[in-house]
Amino acid sequence: MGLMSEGTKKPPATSELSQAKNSGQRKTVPELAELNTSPTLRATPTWPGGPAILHQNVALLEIASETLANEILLGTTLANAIVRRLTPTLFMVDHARLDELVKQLTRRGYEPKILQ
Amino acid sequence: MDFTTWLQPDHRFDLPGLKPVRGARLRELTPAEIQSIFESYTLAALETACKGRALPVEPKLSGVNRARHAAMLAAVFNNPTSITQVLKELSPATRYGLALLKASGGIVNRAEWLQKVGIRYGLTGRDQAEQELIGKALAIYGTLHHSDLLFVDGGTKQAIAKPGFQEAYLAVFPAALSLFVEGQTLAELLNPPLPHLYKGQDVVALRPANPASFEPLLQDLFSFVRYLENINLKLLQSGDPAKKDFSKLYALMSVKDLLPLAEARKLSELPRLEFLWQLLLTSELVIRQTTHQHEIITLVHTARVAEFLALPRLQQVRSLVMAWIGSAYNDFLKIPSLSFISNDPVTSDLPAESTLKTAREFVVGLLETLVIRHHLPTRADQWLELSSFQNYVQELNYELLVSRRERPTPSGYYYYYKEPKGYFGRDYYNGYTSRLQLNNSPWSREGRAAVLDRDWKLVEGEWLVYLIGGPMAWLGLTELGLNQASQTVAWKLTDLGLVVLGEAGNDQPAEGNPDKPGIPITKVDLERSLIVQPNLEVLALAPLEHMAVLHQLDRFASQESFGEVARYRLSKESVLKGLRTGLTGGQILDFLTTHSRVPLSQNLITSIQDWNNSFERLLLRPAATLLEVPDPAVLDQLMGTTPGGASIIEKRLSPTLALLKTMSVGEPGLTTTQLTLTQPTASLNKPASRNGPQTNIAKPQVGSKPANGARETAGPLSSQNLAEILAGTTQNGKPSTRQPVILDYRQIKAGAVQLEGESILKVKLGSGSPYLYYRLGQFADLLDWEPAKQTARFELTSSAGVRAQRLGLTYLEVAQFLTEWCGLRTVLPTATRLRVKNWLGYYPTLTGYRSLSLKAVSPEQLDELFSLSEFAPLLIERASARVALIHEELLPEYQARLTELGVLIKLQN
Repeated sequence: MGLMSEGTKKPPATSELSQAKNSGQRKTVPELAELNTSPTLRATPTWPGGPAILHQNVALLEIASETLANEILLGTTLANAIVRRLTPTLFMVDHARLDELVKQLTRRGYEPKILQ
Repeated sequence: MDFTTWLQPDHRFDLPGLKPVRGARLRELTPAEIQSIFESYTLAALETACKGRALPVEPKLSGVNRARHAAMLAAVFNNPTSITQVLKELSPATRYGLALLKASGGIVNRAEWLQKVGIRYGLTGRDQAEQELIGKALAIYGTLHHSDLLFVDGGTKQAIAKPGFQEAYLAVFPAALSLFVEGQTLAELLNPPLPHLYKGQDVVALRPANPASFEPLLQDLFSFVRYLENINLKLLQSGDPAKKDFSKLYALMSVKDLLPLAEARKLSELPRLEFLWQLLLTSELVIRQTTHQHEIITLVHTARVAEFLALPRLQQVRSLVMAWIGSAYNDFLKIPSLSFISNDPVTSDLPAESTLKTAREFVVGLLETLVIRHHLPTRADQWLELSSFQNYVQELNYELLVSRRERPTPSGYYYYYKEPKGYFGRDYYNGYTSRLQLNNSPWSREGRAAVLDRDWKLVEGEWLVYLIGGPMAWLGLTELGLNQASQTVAWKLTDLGLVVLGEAGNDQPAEGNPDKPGIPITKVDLERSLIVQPNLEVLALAPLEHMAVLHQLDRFASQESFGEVARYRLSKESVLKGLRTGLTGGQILDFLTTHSRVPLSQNLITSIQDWNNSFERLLLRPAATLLEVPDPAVLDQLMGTTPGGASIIEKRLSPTLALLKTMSVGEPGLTTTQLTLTQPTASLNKPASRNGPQTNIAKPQVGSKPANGARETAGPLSSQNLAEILAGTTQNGKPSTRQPVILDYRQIKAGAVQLEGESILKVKLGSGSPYLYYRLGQFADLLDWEPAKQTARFELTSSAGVRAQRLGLTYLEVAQFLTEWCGLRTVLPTATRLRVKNWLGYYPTLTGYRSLSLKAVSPEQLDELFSLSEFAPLLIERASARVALIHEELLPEYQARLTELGVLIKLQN
């Protein structure tokens, strides 16, 4: 969902990510846009005809399923550390908060496998 | 240290004689010269020499008839008949002394000769040999002048045992030399007596002092490695572990030291533990490393441990023997019969570390030579006499540990500044005393000091005893034998010792050692040593023979016991431990299948797979590289037809995103064009902030060079490489010509954020990145964003402050972020600072009152009024000594009482 022009724009008010919420759950998956106003939480930084982007030293978290991802978003503070949600199961996370995040995930029974 | 290193043959063991005096020769002497030599003798020496050659001696020898007697002696000194007769009468010590002289060409250094004879025959035998050689006119004294011997020194008369020269030599007359024994008889005289079997009556009652066994040592090393693999031990500055750490290692030992742990203050007081520690270090199974904080920590060399554990047993033993030889382990300080007073190198005879290494190498090499030459019994049930071995070593290498030529000599200067404790003199062993020494003066240490020429066995001899009963027994090579009175009188090589030191070890037969069936000297069979049971218990059979397997098993199973059979248990936690080290569930199952004697049960396979799957539900890559393209077709082309494209992509994550492989610039397969980026030099060298955002954005400019010669790399892939690869793709049917944008998320770019007014934060053109936006979006509201210009504007608002508080951000974290990204020189306006502080809860809410201020002329008036507790509710606070703030609404309640007290308040407008 990239912006279609190169002009100055207000980012979309709603996130398509919120559509991934599980409506049957009592608690709702945190709305990332409510936690952070970063434009790239709602849109990609690329646009048609624009350059490719090489993102280096990115902390990347991949979760096996969307259900599990939502479960983790509900049960932990992962949402606070999300830089971008690339797909429903793939997240760029704040590298400066990795230690804290790994400890919390492990404590809650979601120990991540760390790939160097 | 290479595990295949072993001792080389050493010719020091083939040199039983004395070193010849280089260049010295005895020229042919005329009868007149010979006579003058004898004339230089004292009368007593001359008389003895005449009697030694059976010449008549006048009852009263004096200076008057000295010349006549000297002439008589000169006439027979080289007479074969006379010499033959004298040679028949020589004592064994003299025969040995003469043999030494003959082997050295007839001229020897007197001091060295005396020392050598004394080693075999003691001080008495040594003196007797000199008496006979000079007193029977077989040899004369001389001193070396260049390469010529001089025999007469002016006015000094020569006496037997008193040559009258500073550096005296002994020279044998040619006829005596040629008439003395030679060939095999001479060799037999020279060769030191070999160590022989113990011949004591109590031979059947001998018992080992410390049963030798290699297995406990191996088990302990294995336990230490297991422990150290899980913890990076912080060491003392000396490089040794602190007591709390070596106590944990001590608890793991299968064979403990004699000294109770509670009494040990440092590692060196526990000899076996220190020995194991030194073996780990010298064999490099464990290495010490100094951290950036100047702390010394331990690291286990996992690959080396695996290599060591997979070695044949013989090679394991040899590797550890070599490690011990080359280690810093100080066996000398462990000699139980010595009392150490000083370790000062200036005043003591403590062997240096290098001396000990050489001495250990000598002893092990000597034993190897004796075994290979069949000079020792080939059966391990035969005891050898300990003293005969000590004698043998003493003759071969008298100065094994302590030099007799280079003596510690504290100078007068030294005495002046420091009392040389433990220094007894040049003729003593300094720095320690022996408890075995006969104490002539029990009140003084000197009484227990060991004498250099006499007490070799109390020092070097006791060191040998310690080696046989200590380190070499721990290595399983030797045993020390005790008699019924618990005296150490014998020793022997074990079966393992005979194999390790013998030639059998060099051959390394393919199928064990047929003579010693109990010793597996070939590579152990690593297969099928486990029984993996359905209840998740794993039994390791003959664990000491399968250390390499156990070392692997240890990565994902917990050890419960270790004995004839080692018991391990698989659990979710233990398997997770293995998965964390990089193992996969498949590898664990493969390993167990390969080494188990029984098929794996289905429930065990399922459990391991489940644990593995649960572990792989979340994959975290802390430093990934992603390529994001605007058009999915670009990725399609890259992964399909574009040259080089597929080689850089590891995985496609979405239509427009791909995970790239980790590669270095210049790696084969990529073009070697150097990436050059324009980046502020300051930010390149700036240390990464712990908490702050660390993003740096740069547009590549091909062809420019980094400032200050710094090699700027883009990590896994260069911009130029990427540009070249992308050039092969098309967007909307047109070739892609735009340079890719490179964003490094861990680099901070000072000045990338600028403050506009009191509350607008603007991202500088070309500096925006998702990470920077994420950090700003935590505590500020987005106003607008221009992705093509890589810029955005955010506003500090109270609602954003509330959101930041909910995220757990503090003012200090935000302030640090702004300092780093706005630049150190940027000073936030007070209004901005104040609003951020207040919005983020840095300041608490102010409390407001409706109040009256009472002003008095004298502070005393207010002090007295409010000292009455009944007025406490009225008072808000004293604003100053003469001003008090009171609740306005309460004043009417107190008005009557104030009037009663005569307090009048005159309200001003």
